[in-house]
Amino acid sequence: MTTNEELTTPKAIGRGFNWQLFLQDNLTGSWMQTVTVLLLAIITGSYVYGKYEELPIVTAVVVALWILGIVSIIVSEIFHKPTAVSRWLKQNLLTSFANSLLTLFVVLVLVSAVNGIWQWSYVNANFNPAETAPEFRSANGATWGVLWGARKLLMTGWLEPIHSWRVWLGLGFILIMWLFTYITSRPALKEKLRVARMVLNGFWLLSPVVLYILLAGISEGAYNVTGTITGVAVLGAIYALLWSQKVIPFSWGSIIGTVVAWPLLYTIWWFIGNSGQFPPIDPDKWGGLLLTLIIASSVIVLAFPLGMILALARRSEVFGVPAWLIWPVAVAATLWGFTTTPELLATSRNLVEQIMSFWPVIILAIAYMIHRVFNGNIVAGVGTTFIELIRSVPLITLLFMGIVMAPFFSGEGVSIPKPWLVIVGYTLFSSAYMAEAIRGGLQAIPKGQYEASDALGFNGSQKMRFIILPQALRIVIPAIVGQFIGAFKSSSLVSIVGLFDFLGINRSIVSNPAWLGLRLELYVFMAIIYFTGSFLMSSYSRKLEVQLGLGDR
Amino acid sequence: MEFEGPSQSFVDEIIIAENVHKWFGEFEALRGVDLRVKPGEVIVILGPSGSGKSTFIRCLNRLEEHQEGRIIMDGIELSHDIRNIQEVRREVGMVFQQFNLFPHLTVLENITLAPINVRKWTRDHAEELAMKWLTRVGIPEQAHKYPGQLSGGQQQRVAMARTLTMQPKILLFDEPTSALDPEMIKEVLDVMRDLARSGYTIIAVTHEMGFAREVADRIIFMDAGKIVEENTPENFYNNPKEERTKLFLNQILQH
Amino acid sequence: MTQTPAAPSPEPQAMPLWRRLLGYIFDVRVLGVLGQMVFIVLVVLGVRTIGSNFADNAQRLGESQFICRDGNFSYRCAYDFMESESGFDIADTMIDHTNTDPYWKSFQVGVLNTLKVAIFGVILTTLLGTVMGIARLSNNWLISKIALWYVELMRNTPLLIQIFFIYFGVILTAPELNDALQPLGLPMFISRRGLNLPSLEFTSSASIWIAFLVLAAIQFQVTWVMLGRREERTGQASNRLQTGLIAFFLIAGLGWYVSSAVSDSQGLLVTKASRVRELGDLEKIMLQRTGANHLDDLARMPEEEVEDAAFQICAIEESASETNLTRQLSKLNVPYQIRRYERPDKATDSYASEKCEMFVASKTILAAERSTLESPSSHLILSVKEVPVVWSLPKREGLNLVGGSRMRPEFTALLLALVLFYGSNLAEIVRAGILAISKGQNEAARALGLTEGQRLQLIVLPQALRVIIPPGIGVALSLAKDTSLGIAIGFPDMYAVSYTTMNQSGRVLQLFVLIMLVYMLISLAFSVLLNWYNEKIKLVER
Repeated sequence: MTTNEELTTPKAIGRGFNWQLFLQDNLTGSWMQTVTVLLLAIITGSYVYGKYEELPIVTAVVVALWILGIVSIIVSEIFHKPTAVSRWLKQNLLTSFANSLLTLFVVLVLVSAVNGIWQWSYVNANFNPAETAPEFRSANGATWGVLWGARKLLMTGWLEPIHSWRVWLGLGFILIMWLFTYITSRPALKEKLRVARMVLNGFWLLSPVVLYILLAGISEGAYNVTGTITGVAVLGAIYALLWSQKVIPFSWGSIIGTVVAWPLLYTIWWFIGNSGQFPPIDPDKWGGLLLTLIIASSVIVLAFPLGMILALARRSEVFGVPAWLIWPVAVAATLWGFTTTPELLATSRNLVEQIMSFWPVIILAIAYMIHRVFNGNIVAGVGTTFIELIRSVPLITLLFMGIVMAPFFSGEGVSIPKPWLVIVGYTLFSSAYMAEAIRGGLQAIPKGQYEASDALGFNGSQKMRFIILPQALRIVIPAIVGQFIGAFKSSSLVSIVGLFDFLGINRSIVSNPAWLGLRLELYVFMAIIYFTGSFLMSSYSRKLEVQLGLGDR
Repeated sequence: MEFEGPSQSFVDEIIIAENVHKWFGEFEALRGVDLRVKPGEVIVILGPSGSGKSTFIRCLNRLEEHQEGRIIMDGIELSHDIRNIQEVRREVGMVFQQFNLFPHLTVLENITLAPINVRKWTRDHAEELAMKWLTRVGIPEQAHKYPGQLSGGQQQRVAMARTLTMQPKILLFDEPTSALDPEMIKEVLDVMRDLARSGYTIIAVTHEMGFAREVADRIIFMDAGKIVEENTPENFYNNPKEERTKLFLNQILQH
Repeated sequence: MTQTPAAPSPEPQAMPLWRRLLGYIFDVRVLGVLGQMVFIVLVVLGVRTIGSNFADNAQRLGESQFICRDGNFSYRCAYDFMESESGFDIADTMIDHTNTDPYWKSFQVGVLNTLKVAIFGVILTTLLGTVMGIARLSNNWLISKIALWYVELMRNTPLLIQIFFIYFGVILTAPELNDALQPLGLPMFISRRGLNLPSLEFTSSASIWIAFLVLAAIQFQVTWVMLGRREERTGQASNRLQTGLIAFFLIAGLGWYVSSAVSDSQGLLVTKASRVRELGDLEKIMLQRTGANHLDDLARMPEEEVEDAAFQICAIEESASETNLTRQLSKLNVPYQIRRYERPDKATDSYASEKCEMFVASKTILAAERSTLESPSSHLILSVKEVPVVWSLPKREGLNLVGGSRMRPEFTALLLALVLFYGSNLAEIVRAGILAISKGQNEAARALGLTEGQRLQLIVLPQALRVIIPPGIGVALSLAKDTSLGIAIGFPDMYAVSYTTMNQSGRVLQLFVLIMLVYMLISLAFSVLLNWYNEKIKLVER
């Protein structure tokens, strides 16, 4: 019905008032309109009647206001003197017969809903944290005391109170960093504080480590020399790779930095560990909002680089393996496959097993896929397959897989805390979606940008590093923030696999005798927190979008 | 305006294309194109749309890959050898119809990015040269703006400065004025004219008849993936050899 | 930079051998293949590390998982356990299932439940999303603001909280069954036991009628095509839709009568002594019992008297036979009371002990049950006229609700939450789709003199759908995947059933493979649909 309403042509505003035209516009335009208006009138009428019996005063006031609104419009139309109020009402609430009826109906529904919520959450509610036991509760009111009583569980779960200061410190660290970032990115200071911003960025890069030390802690131990050397070697190799691809220039300063960075950081790490100030905390003790935030941030931090690699792999344009190379290899592999399981067909018990005994044919199918679908590009093939496989299953399957299958993949006797396992499962999931978001950004870059970079003589890595990725990532910032909001919200799924995150912790709260069954209060509170968090983040992302948009125009 | 010339080349024929063929799937875009260009020559390629003229010059720096025949640029053959491709691209500059400036970088960054990372010059040297070229194309005051803040004509001149700062020996122009408003065409053509006079080897695909007549050493007329006629500007306009050329010129000059 | 003078065309043969070899290595094609080989080796190494770990652990943890019935270890016996008895009950089943059925059957029940939620969910989401998307653009300020807040609220809170909230806060706080809510007097009831809705019940003749329906659909298509050809040939305009629909309903109506005349599967078991020989006799007998002149007079008689006189009829729970009979009795205005039994033999016992006078069921059941009675010959099986499809409405009877079909609270909560959540996603897509139509299109349509209806139907919808459908299919796929959240409130979907199976049998790996396969099939179906649609609109563009 709203379709009709909202798409009606604006009425011609003549000098005089034409009853026939008015009726035709509002009631007799088409038989559908007539039926709609009549039906609406009947429903609204009966609803008003029912509400009048329930809430006589409120209903009477609403109906009176409604009539007043209509009268004000009629009067202003007759005297051709529309006031601001009547004009607004005419344009927004009482546009036509059907719309006026709808407005009345909706207002009444809203009023009774708000009334119900008000009664439950305030009038009949009990706010005393000491009075949460069943005997204090009113039948139709909330028992808000549980929120205060269970605040520790809600915020940090089973974390020992002696460690609380570390959480506060972490929070303070992030807030201060954010504050500094905000200040230094003011347009007025942007150029002046260039160095400060670089230092700040360095701190942001280190922040996962800082937070890890605060929230997970470091155990004491001997200085690991081989590990240090390996670290230097890995960093050196990365540096060499980037340098050989001509993405970063050769300079003695950066080489010394690369060599020194790892031992320096490791030594600091080792000293902190052996000072005993930050003893390890069992991650299984994490809970409440803390766990939710840890999972959401770790997932985004890990999924972003992984997603970028996947996106680049899926879009990679290396020269494909030619057909004359694929097929002989595939056929040979297939034949070899048959020779490894020669007895399979002979011993099969039923049709399914007979079919399964031809499993090496799968190699041919894969070869066909590589040849035809991916034009010989195996990198793109593997990337695409991974992304599509992950995207086709629900998140909860991957979380369960993280938890239930971990014993199958880890070494013997190793037990990994559950939060790490769900973070791994979730990261795999998130990286596939992140890859698709980044791929969207890559696809949005015009072909001309690639051509211009080629024509200027950039090699593949340089082209990506200097031209394509900076533009693509800027495009996908909203999508990445969306992913982060998604991770923040969907991390609630870990409660299904037995973790006590912000949502999962309510299982322990409502089973406490003092708070038995106080689910609704908790759900409402959690919904408000999630809503506020997500809403703030999406508004921030919208702001960011506008800011970045200004940059390139 | 006086332009500094390109670095000197020591080969007799700086561009050699022999029997170049190119297919897009089933469609044969180039059907055996032969062209030899001496250093410092200015060639204008004309032809109806879809005649393969753009494809041909894009083959010259391997934005498109030719499948048959050979192309030798400044003594280096364009093959699948990745080193040759990079080397040729350093020596061949290209200016596009759609400018293709990098929108996330300022004008100066646009110009200096390749010299610093491809030519391995220092930032100071690259910026000095960039400013010189920006001054020569007449917009030094725009150096710290973003491309989106410039007019089409200014963007195209930035694109030329970007190409020229790399100090190429050969310049390829792919319809550089087609995406411009009429009042901006002149400022770009002026720059092209002066480049042509200062010794660059230029191959330009353009519809600007005046430019072709004035500066071209040779005009090449392409149709359906082949070179139909090769002539001096004078003869090409006044006394074309081929029927197809006459038809084309009639159509263009009528309106 | 070739600063040295070189020949115009350097001949490759003139180069020394090592340079030529170097040339081969730097060939993009060779580099590509080499790079990919390195990549494959890396992938294979990675997979092997995980795989060998896995193989070790599978030996250690999972040896019992691959035991065959003869006690041997073989990977091919991975799924043998699925044939053993499951031992658990499933609350919500679409097909018969008991705890003695094998795991395969339980899994099947779970898959069907997943599909049920997904299909109903997609249909309802489409409706809600469309309405809300249009409401977002309504010129009624209140409506558009409400739609906006609905969308914001749904999108910014986790789906799982919504599910919990609807299950614990809405469904489970609804009244008990005996004072179930009946909104607006419609034939539906809401209680904490779920949602009772009207349903269609199919008698055995339904298959014949459905065959006729298929025929009617074919006829409709044929008429459509033929009229279209005639239009092309002669230029004579015809109302294809109307003619087609007339043809369709003619055949469908004919089928209705044919199927109800041909089939004779519904029966009513009565004693010979009751003197009932056909349904019409019931009227005479009732008049005798009450002493009324006309059945309409019963309305004026005391209620208890009528209740005493009412026919007592035995029936099997949730059978279409009952609905088929009571519909006809209500038409005759004959008072009756139904006693429902879980199983036919219980109903027969009740009938034999004369708790009820008649027993309604299908003729095959009745014939079987009659033979168990003491003297089968003293009982008659009367034919009851049957209609293919009976509309069954839920109604109160005592403390219970009968008729219609009941959606269990878990199903209702899951469905409701999914529809509300994905409805908000779809609403945004619909809104964007409508906004994507440029103003010029609307102006052009008005300028051509199209009516508002024509404008919507011919200009707005076809263009908006192009923008809406591809992401809409994505929403449907997400919804189908998120049915797995039902496990949080105990809805036995495929995932929950597999999880129980996993806990009971310890076969984690096998079940994960199975679950993944089913979800992948579902995803594949959706992507095939999407590709098909994209191809279709691409063709139209040309």
